[in-house]
Order: sequence, then structure tokens, then C-alpha cells
Amino acid sequence: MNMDDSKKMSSDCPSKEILSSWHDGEESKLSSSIENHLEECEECTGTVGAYKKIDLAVQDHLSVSPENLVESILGACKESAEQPASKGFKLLSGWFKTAAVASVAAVATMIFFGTGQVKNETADSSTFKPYGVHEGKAELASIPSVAVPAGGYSSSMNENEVTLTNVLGEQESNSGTTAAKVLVPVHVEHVWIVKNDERQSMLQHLETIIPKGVKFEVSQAEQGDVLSVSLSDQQLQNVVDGLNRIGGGLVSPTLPQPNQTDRVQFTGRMIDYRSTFVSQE
Amino acid sequence: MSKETVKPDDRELIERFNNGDQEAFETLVTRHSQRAYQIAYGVLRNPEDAQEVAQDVFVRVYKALGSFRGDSEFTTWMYRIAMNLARNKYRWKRCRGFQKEFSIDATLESDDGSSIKYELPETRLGPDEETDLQEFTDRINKELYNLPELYREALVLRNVENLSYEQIADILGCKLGTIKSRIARAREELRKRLQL
Repeated sequence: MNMDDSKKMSSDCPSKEILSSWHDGEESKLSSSIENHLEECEECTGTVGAYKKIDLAVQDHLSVSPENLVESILGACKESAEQPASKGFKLLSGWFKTAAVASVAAVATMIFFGTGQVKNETADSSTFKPYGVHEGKAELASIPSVAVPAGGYSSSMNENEVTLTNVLGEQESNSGTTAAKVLVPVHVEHVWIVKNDERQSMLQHLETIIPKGVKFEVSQAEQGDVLSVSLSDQQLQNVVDGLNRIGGGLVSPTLPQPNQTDRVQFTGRMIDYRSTFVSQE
Repeated sequence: MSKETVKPDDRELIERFNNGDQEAFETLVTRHSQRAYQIAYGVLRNPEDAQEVAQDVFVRVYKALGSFRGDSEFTTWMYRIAMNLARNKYRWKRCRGFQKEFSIDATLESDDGSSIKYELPETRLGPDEETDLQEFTDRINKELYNLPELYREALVLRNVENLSYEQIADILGCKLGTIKSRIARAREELRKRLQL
């Protein structure tokens, strides 16, 4: 702050963060005191005026949209729906089948990544299956059972998401208005859509994303290839973030979502995770 | 309550679509596609990329709507997909050096080297006001994309539909306080850079 500034700019002035959120209508409790302050403080009035100007310009900048947007989207959806499996959405399983016919050895290498943790017999053509089971040395932790709270889950939450009150029997909350959340050890299902040319790397990256020593399985299903793994809630969040980083598009609304580490309170409990990968050309 | 007189909400449209009503999906697209485009445009700055992302968003929605369980609002889910896809594309292009600056009035170049003129809708202001606002918008256009990615995303979501901080926090998977801070910092950065 400029000490020579004759305008009122003192410790009475709300922070820029408060001014910004007040400008967005998010400070209802402080609203009247801020309004009173603005009547006296040119500095803060100028700041809020600048925010308004910035917002108007950003809104103007974002107001563009192509005239044919709706038509082009509907066209793309129609095209993807009408295309046969070989052209539009392809199940990864098709890729596995083709690769199996072409070269069992090559497929085995791709699926099992050629690591020392792969069972020898799985690379043998006589025992080859169009899915891979990756086994680590560590024993899987058992999935503990969780009692449903007496009052049931809060109506605003699904069974994958409960407050600490429900799980631990004590109320905790974040400093903000968002309630603390915790993943509970239930079955979580996700659907990821990956571009056709990225599917191979997506599968190959599984080994780097999933913690060493954890057993996971990639199997075929009607909808696509399915990853099955049991992870702690912290590990699962890391896996989801990892898949997101390498380009997967998560289309499932269930928790966890990418980049939620600062929102989720981890307990170390285990979650049975099932993730379906569908590829798109 | 008569369905003929009340606009169906998103949940009703999703239910209809899942029961085979394709028009319900068209209504969802008509209702929300512009927002998806604007989010993508705010992140990517490139109209073609933004349109591609908007298409991709709804193709994915179309494919996944059957398994949409309504754990969150449809718009929150859709905006989250839009933001994730736009962010992925932005990072992919930035890593490969494709993310470069250009004016929204610029003539774009297609893959084969020919030029493409992207048509923008008419502005709603008079000539003088338009000039002033356009000049300032051009400066914002430049500085917005010099902001840190996380600040820009929050400010874009705030200005796309006046989303509440809670909604933005839900879409970006952050705490409410984090969003409050990011938006304030975005504005302060712009204020300083534009010498307002």
C-alpha cells in the first residue's frame, strides 16, 4: 500500500478476496458493512469498478458461439450412434481380439508390459486369454464391511459419499460451507472414454498409475474392457488423477472425480473399483 | 402438474431420452451446448477447438446418459466433462507447442494451408460503444490467457453463467475457499496487468 495515498485505504478495508466475492454476491453476511465502506473508500470503490469492467469484458469475450453449434453437435452424436463398432465407438475388446489373432506374443507384451511380475504361463499362446491378470507379491487387504448408519445416508448424498458423522460418529467439517467428505469402502464404478489412438498408452500406463504390488485385472465385458482393482481411497484418487492426466475422459458422476484431493478426506479404507474403458476414434 | 405447460427439467429430459425419446436429447443440447462451448472457448481460446470439444462433450453425454444416476445435477456433470476435455486439449496442445495466441478476428489457417474465416455473431452494442468495449475486450482476451490456468478456469466458469462459488467448486473439485481465492487472484492479476 502506498503510505502517501490520501485516499482511505487502511486496515478497515476489506481484503481483495472479500471484495471480489462480495461483487459476486457471495458475502451476504458482510454485505451491508461492505456497502457502507464503499461509500467512504475510493480505493475499494475503484477496485470493485475494475472487477465489474473485467467481468463485462470477459463475458463479452465468451459470448461468441458458432451459429451451427447445435446442428454440428447433433450431427456428431448421430454419426457416432450410427457408425458401426468398427468406425465409431470401439470397444477395446475388439482390439484385443484382433491383436490376439495377429500376434499372441505381441499382445502378451502389450497387455502384460513385459514386467517380472507377470506370470510366465500367461504369455504362452496355449494359455493365452484375451484379458490379463496382473499379479503382485503383496497380499490384498481385505475390504472391511461398513455398517449403514442408523439413520441411513443423508438424502442429499449417495452411498459413495457420506459425512464423517455417518462413518466415524463425530461431526467434522471444513472451514468453508462444503461438508467434509470421505470415500467409503463400497463398490465404485467409472466409465472412461479414450481416443482410439490413446487406448494402448492408457492401458500401458495402468502399471505406472496403480501402486506396485497391487493386483489388478483387465477383463472383457460387453461395454468395453474393464479394470478391476481394490485400492485404498487415497490410492484410488491417485489412480483417477493419473488416468485423467493421460487423457482419459471420465463420464461417470460417481466419486472420486479427478483433482479432488483437497476435497476428500482419506481414511485408508479399501474400495472395490471397477472401471470400464470405451474407446472413440 | 401439466407437462404441456411446464418446461421439462433436465432430469425429466434424461428420463425421456433413456426411454427412447431422441427429441429430449436435442432439447438438452439446445439448452446447454452454448455453455459447453463457452467453457471450452474460455479455456482454449480457439473457436475450432472449442466447437470440437463441445461436440465431444455431447457425444460422451449421449453415450453415457443411460448410466447417469443423477448423483449430481446434469449441468454440473456436463460442465465437468467440458472442463476436463478442454483442459486436456489445452495441455496436450501446450505440450506440443500448438497453443498459440491469436485474435478472435484473425483469419485461421487450416491444415492444408488455406485460410478459414470464422464467423462470429454480431455484437449488440452501438458502433462507439462497440469500439470501446472491443478494444478493452481485446486486451482482456490477451491477458486472460496469460493468467495461470487455475485462475482462468475459475473466472471463466464464474462468467459463463454466473455460477455460484459452490457450483464452481463442485465442477472443479475444489474447496469453496479455493475458488474464492482463485477468482479474486484472477481479477487482481487482470486489474494490475490492465492498469485498472
